[in-house]
Amino acid sequence: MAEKQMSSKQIPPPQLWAAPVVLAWLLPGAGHFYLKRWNRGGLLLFAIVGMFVFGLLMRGRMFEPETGDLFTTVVNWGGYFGDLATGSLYFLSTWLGYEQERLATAVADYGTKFLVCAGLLNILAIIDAFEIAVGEKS
Amino acid sequence: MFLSVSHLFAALLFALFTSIVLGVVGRNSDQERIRYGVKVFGYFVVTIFGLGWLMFLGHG
Repeated sequence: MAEKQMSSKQIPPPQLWAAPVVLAWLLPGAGHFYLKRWNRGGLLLFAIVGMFVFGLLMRGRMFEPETGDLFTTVVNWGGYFGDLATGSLYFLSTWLGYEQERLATAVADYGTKFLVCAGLLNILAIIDAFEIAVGEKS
Repeated sequence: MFLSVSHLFAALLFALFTSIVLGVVGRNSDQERIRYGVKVFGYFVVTIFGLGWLMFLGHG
């Protein structure tokens, strides 16, 4: 019984979930499209891309992996991973030359948070795609 | 083209996008998802206005 419980908690084979998880990271909602959850994928695409685009329009800043004291390191690395989690949106915008210096305005600060939160919301979408792919969710 | 938006608009926009994602990933049936998304958005709006008034009154 204990062995059965142990084996049921093992990570499922990657061929089940690797494609939807990678697609979900690269483009928000794409993992759900791959799994034929069209409506949910569309809503995720709208919400996450919308948040990212508004972040850019508000002149949000992309984090860079800076180190320094503990607070600086945690904030910058955390923000950097948040930005990276938007996948192709991050790569495309930096590749196209989007660069924003630190602006001392509330709107730009909101924009920075929008960009990071778009990534954090995409992580939730990636986890959801994983759970659907392995059969834990419908 | 850059936007200059009010605090309220930015906070409501954030609430809208976040509620959609939480609604989609947070429940198992479509009806539950809609109800949960609307509920989360409502909580956001109440909190935004509540904290706004608290700051306004606290500021004197």
